[in-house]
Amino acid sequence: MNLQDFEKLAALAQQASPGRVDVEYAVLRRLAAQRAQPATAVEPARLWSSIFAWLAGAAAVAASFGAALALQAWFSLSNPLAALLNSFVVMIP
Amino acid sequence: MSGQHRDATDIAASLQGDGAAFAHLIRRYQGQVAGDLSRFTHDRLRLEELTQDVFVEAYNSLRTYRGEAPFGHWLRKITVRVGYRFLKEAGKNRARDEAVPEPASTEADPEPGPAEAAARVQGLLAKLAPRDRLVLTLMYMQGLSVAEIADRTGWSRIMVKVQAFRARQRLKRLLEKSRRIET
Repeated sequence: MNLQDFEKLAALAQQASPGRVDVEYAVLRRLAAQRAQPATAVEPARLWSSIFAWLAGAAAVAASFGAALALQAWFSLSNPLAALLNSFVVMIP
Repeated sequence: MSGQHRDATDIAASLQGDGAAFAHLIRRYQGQVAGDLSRFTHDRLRLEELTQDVFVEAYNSLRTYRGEAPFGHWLRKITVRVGYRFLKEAGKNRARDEAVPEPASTEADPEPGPAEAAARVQGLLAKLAPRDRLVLTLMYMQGLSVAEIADRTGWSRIMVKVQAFRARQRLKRLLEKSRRIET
């Protein structure tokens, strides 16, 4: 099959009909179930998980800054590695 | 009463919590939604499930409908969103969700009926990435123009053109590859 054959097949496929579909009852039942669900039961859990995620992120940033500062203090300025490290740390606002 | 006016009345009533009014909207548009979604899957159960998803999503975002375009038009955008989500899921679980016919079987019947043709086209498109599949489905299976695809997907026209070009290239390669395997 080449692209032209495919296009012909697709043109024919456009005529396909799904037949009668009746979802009225199923949709209304799903919406009723959705309304009956206690929305507040889920929200605090989501709120706490996002708070913890933010705290974990902030802790990770603080830890990396702390580690960088500790390394800077550990090496003397005469050490070439420390000088290099120092130049990186200074770049951090 | 015109169709648009009837829709506006039912939407306003639905927003007030009138379930019967929303049922009118479902009855009026379920054929259109199912017709559009049948281009994404030929599995009857999945089709009904996806049609339900469209109406549930429409109900949940009914407040955002501003009435600038006809309700059916707004619903079509949701249909494409739900269809695209289905394609992404189907891509992840291709073996489970879609019975993909082998390329050799596409040559089996030289004059298939529309339903058979739709199943074959969907089978071939299933081998492509969801984004390619979406643009080709809208282009070939629904016969939409670039402007219409852009409108329904929310992509720019340039993006639709680029995406369609790339998807066609990939489809062409896929068809050539399967032809080489056959010979």
